[in-house]
Amino acid sequence: MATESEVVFDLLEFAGKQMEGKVEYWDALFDRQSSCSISKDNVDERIALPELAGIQLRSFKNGGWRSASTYRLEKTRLKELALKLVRLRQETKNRVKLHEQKPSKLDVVMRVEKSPGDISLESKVDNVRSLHKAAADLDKRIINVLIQYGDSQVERIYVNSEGSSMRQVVTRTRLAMMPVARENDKIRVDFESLGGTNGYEVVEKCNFDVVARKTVESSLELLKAETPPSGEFPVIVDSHMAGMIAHESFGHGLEADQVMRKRSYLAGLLGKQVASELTTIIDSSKLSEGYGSYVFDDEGIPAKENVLVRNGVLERFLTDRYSASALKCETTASSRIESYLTKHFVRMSNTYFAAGDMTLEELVEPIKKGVILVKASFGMEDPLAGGIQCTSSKGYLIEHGKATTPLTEISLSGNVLEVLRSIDGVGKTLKFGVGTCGKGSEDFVPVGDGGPYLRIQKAIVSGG
Amino acid sequence: MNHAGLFKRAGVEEYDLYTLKAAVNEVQLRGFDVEIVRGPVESIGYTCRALSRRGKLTGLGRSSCSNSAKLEECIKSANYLSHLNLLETKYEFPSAKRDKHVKIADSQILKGDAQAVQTYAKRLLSALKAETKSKPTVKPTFGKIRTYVLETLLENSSGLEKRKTETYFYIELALKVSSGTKLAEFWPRKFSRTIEAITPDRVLPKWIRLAKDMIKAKMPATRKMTVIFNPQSVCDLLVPTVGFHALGEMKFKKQSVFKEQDVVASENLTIHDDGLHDYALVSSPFDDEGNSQEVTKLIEKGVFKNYLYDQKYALNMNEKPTGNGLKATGANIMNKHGAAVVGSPTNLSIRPGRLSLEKMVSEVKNGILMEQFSWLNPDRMATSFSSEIRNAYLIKNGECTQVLKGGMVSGKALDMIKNISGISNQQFIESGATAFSCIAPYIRFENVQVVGK
Repeated sequence: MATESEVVFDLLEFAGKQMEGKVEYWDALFDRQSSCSISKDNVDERIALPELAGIQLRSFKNGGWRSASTYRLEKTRLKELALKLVRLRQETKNRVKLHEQKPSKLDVVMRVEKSPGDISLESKVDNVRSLHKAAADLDKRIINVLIQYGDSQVERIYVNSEGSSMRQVVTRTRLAMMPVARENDKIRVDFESLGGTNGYEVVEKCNFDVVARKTVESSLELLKAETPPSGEFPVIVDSHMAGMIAHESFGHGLEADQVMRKRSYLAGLLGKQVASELTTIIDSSKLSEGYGSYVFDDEGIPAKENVLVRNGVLERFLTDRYSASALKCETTASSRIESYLTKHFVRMSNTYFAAGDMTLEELVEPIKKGVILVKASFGMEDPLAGGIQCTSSKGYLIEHGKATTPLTEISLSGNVLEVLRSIDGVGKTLKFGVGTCGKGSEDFVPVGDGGPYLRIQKAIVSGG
Repeated sequence: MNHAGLFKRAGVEEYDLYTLKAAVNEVQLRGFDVEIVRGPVESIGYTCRALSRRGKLTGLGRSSCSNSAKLEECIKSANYLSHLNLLETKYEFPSAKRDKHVKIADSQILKGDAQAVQTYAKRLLSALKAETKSKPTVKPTFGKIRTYVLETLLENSSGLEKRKTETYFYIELALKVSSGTKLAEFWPRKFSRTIEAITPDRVLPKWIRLAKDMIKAKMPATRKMTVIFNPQSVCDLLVPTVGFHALGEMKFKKQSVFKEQDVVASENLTIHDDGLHDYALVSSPFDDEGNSQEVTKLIEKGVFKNYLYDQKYALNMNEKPTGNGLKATGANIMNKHGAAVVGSPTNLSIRPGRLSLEKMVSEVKNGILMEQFSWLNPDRMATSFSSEIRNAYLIKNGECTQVLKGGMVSGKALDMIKNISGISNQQFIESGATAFSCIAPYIRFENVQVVGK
C-alpha cells in the first residue's frame, strides 16, 4: 500500500502532467503545517492543535507566473486548476526565460534531539504551568505572567517540470515568557524567547527558575526605567537589535524581487563599499538550529549559506529562480511561501552580522553620552530609501563609559547605509534570536537573526 | 453533514464548530507588468471547541483541521484538550438570538471570479500610465490587487446556527517618484469591504500627489509640536491602546488603567465600538462566538463609560457580552478560523468634530500633518510608541510648507488623548498596519515629541 507521501507525490506529478508541454515551466507544492500551541497567563489557559494542508500549482509562460491553490487533495480538482492555469492568457513585456536548475531528489526529515510529537500533551501543559509558576510569585508587582509554547512541523513535498522530486519535514519549537509588572498606573512588560529548528529539548534544557527570575527582574527594572533621550547619539545595539538591523533595515533591500521592481536602494551597489570594513553580513538557510533554516526553498533549491556583505563590500543579492535568471546570477535558495495559500517571494532565512573581537566593556568605554538598545521588539523595512525603523523593548543610558540608567523602549531611525558605515566596533560574542518576518505587512515566515554587540558612532534615537 | 451527530459520537455535550470557507483572486504587478495571476486560491478550515466541566472547573479545548474527513479526529482532540485545562472560570456557549442586519458584502466580489481583480488592474495601470508623462515621473514598482469571499458557519450545542457571507478587497501599491538622481516613494496598503470604496479614481490622485511631494522631503528638527494624525495613523494609535484598556478581560486581569466614569481624554473625544457600521471591516451581525455585535459607548466627551466583553469575561464578571469575542484577523483572513477567540474591539468609531482638515491645519503655528508612519505599532499596555515618519508635511503658520521623511514621532497614546485640540468633520473607514479596523477622522494632538536631526 502506498504511503501518504507517495500518494501526495502521485497527486503532484498528475497535476504537473496536465501542464506538461503547454507551459515553459511548472511546479507543484504540497504544504502541511501541524502545530501545538499552549498559552497560559494568570487567568487563561489555551491549548490548540491547528493544522492546515493543501496544494499550490504554479506555471510560467511568456514571462509571467500563474498559480492556483486548493485544500481539495483530489485529482479532479487538481486537473481543473492545472488546465485553468494553462488556458489563462498572460503576457509580460519582460520576457525573462527561466534558467534551468539541476533537478534534485531529496527526502529529508530535519533531525531534532527530541521530537515534540513524542512528548505527551500532559507533559507539555505541565511544563508551561511550571514555568508560569516559577515567575508568578516572585514579586507582588508582577500582576500577570504570559507563557507561550509552540511547536510546529512543516512538511513540504515539491515536484517540478525539471524532474525535481523532494520532501522535507522541518520542526520548530519556541518558548516565550512575558511577565507584566505594574506600579500604580505604570505597566511594563519584558520578554524572553527561546527556540529554533529544534525539538522539545528547547523546553527541557531551559532552567525555568533562572529564566523566570531574569525576565521578572527585567520587567521590574522597566518600572524604574526613564524615557530615553531624543536626538543623535553614539549607540550600541545588542545581538537582537543587530540582527534586526541586518534583517529589517538592510536585508529587505537585498531581496532581488525588489531589485527587479527597481525598488531597492542597493541596486547598483554590488561590489561597492556599503558598510564599515568591520562588517560582514550573512544569510544562511543552512544555519544549524536557526529558526529560519530549511532543507530546500519552496522552489526546490537546496539551502545555502550566502555572504551578503564581506568586510563592508556588497557581494550578492538574495534571489529566487526568476530574479536569478533575470540578473544572470545563481539562485540563493531564498524563495519562500507562508503557506500553500500565499505567493512565493524572495525572503531571508537566518540573517546576521559576523562576530568581531571586542568585549562589551571595550565598546562602551569611549562613549561619554550614548544609549544601549537591548531586546529587539519590531522593525519595518524601507527597501527603496533604506530608512530605519527598529525598536528595542528597553535600553540603558551610557554615561562616561558606563551603562547607567535603564530606559524604556527606544526606536532607532535614520539611513541604514549611514548607520552601517559608522560601525566602529564589533563584539566577539555571536547570539541568535527567533522571529517572524512579513514582506510588507503580509506573508509571514519564520526567520532567525542575530549578531554580536555593535557600536554605531552616531544614530537618531527616540523613546515613547 | 450532521455535525451534532459527530460531537455526540465523540461524547462531547457542549461544543461549537466554526467553519470558514474562503476564495481569493489576486493580481500582482511588477512595474506596469502583471507579475502573477493567482486564483482560485481556495481554503476551508474547521475549528471545534469542546467544553468540559468538573465541579466548578471548566476546560475549553480547541482543534482545527482543513479536511472534513478529519473532523471526527479534530473533535476528539478538542475534547481531550478540554480535560487538560480545567480552570476555575465560567464558560458556556451562547444561545441563539436575533442579530441586526449590517452590510458586509460586495455583489461585484461575490461573483467570485478573477474578472473583478483583472478589470481593476487594467484601470489602475491605465490611470498610472497617464502619469508617466508628468514631472516628476511617477511609476508603480509593484502592486497587489486582491478579492476575498468568506463564508462562515457557526454552530454550537446551545442550538445556535449562524451563517454569513462577507467580502474584502485589498490593494497595495508602491509608487516611485524620480527626479534626476532623487528617488522617493509612497506605499499605501488598504482593505475595504467593496471595490467601489477604493476605485482608482477615488484614491490615485491623492496617492500620486503624496508620492510626487515626497521627492522634496527632508527630516524634521527635534522639538515638541502640534501633530495632526491622518485617519490611518489614528487607527494604529488608538485601536491597540484604547481598545486594549477598554477590554473587560484587562479590567479582570488588572491590566487596564481605565475606570468607569473617569476622565481619560479631552472633552472633544467620543469613541464607540461599532460592530454594526455598514461596510466597516469588522462589522458583522454576530461575533466569532455567536453573540450579536453591538454599538458600545467607550468614551463619551472624554469620560470612560463601558468595557467590552467577550462571552468568557462577561460570564466571569457578571456582565452582558457586547459581541467582542473575535478571532484575530489582520493579514491572515483566510486562516482566521484557527485563531483563538479573544476579547477585541470591532470597529472603533471616533466621533467627528466640527473642523475641516483645512481649518485644522490653518490653526497650527508649528506642526506636522502625518500621512504615513513606517509602522506605528504602540505598546498596548504602556501605550508608548516611537515611529519613523514615512510621509508627512511640516506646517508653519497655518500652511503646509515642507515635505518630511525620516525622523520620528514619539508619545504615549493615553497621554495624547488628553491633549486633543481638534477633530476633523469627516470620518473614514480605515485599516492600519497594526490595527485592522477603525472609523476615524483626522485628530490634532498638542505637544508631541518629534525627533530628527
